[in-house]
Amino acid sequence: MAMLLATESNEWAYVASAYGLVIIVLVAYAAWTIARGRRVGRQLPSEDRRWM
Amino acid sequence: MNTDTKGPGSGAGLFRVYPGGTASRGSRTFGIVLAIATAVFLAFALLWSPPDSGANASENQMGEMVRIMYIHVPVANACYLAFFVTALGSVMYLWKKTDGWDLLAAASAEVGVVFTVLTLATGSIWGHIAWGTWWEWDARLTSTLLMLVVYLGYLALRRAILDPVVRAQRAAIVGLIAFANVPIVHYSVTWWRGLHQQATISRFDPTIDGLKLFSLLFGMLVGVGFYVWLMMHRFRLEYAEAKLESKGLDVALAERRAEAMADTAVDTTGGTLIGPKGTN
Amino acid sequence: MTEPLVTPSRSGTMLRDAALVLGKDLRLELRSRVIINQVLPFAVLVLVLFAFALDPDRRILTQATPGLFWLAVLFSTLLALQRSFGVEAADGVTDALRLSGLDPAGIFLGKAAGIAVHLLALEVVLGLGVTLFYGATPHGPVLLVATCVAATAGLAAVGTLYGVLSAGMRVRDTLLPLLMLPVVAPVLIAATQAFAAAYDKTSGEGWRWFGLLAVFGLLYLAIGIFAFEPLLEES
Repeated sequence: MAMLLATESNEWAYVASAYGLVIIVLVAYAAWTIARGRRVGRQLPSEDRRWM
Repeated sequence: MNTDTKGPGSGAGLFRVYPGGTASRGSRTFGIVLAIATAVFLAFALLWSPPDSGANASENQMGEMVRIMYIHVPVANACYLAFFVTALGSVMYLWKKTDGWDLLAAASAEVGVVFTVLTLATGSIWGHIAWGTWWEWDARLTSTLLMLVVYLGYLALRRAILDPVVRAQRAAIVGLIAFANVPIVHYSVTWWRGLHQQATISRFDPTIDGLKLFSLLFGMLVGVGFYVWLMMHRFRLEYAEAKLESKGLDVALAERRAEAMADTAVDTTGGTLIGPKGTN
Repeated sequence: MTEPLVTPSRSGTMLRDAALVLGKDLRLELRSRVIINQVLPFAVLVLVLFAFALDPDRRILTQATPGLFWLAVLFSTLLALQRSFGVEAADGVTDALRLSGLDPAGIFLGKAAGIAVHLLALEVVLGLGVTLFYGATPHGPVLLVATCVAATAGLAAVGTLYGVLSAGMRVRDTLLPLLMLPVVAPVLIAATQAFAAAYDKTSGEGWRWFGLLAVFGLLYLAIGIFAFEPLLEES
């Protein structure tokens, strides 16, 4: 079924966009979370950062 | 341990340890392991595993497209895991009334929303090949979309309530309802689609074995790893925000304003903040 | 209403308290007429707007009647809820209810019953409306009525739960639809399908959907009965 609509190179474009999207979004979210963490953590005295 | 907020910390370059950040030795080590595992996973998923064609192919003959499954399924798996943790945190909060469970539920919901968006996006990319359209009112896609909206509502509710106790209480109930609602929505949507089912559409569940199965299972492991690693950071952020909140909203507001005004002023602001201790 | 309780049996007081709250809400509506004078015309207006949006020709309208009917009900439910909980939030009535010693489960059932009564009245008018405007001739009256009752129970239960959840927030009016609509999506699906079955005279399929509605309604009534106590106790 899938074969009817896709050619070889076309398939790789879809595969690449799926992998690229997931990696970019996860990395961006991680960076955002870490940035927020630093912003908030900077305002906290060290005794409140229990994980360190 | 380091009160100088701009101190260099240990390590260098990308791995520099910021004293104010959410990173710890554990999360950093785990992150490195995860990065290596991801590279190996990508090699398996994109290079080493064979395309779904030829003699060993499943009956759907998905060709290279089968590779989308190695990332779609783990991401979907991680989103269900995330919402399960949110539900667990909600139940445990209602039972134990300890803040930690509420923070866990909140952190997991946000991570879960990110994974849900990715689930929908990769599912949609798959669908464009399988169905020829970006969106089909397929039971799984539709119920996942509704689940996303429900958890966006959960996060909106959390942002809307200022009192931490009231927020935890109400969010726990919403978190519980949201999870209980998943099977109901899935069942009704499946049934709804079942009425208009044409001939068998290419489904997302081919029979796979060998390297293909290994890539999928390894992907699931990496997906859970990503969830855990993101949660380490996100939970600590939630915890830090809760601490900051308990120090009084006025202080925090003044601080953020000062921080926005000049990043260089952080040193002095941070310095004065050490004075008033948190009540918790 | 505020007299202290010497409880003989839990379910007895629950039902009595539910009746008290229901009576209060109905009296309030009889005096203020907000539902009758504002929400009801709004619901009819929605029906007219659907006609403008779809076509002047009645073909599509007749086909889409079940869905449009339940969409109009859903939108009106949001207004009825905002009214019902706007009344409670004003002048600290929520605090009065909490301090009244009424059974929280009873308060939940009473509020839900009040909303359900308003919704059933709305559905009767909307039913007449679609018959008149869209030319849809109803069949299978038993299935239609049963569907209305079951769907309304689900809508009222979820609505009451989320109504009190978002009570007292400045963003209540925008948050309530976001929280509630995705949760009641199965009600929209099932009620629409049951109505479609009734209009097409294929009632057998419709009763399956009615079953789903009944399960949904009972489930959320149960959740509400258990969740209302912690919700009222807080703050």
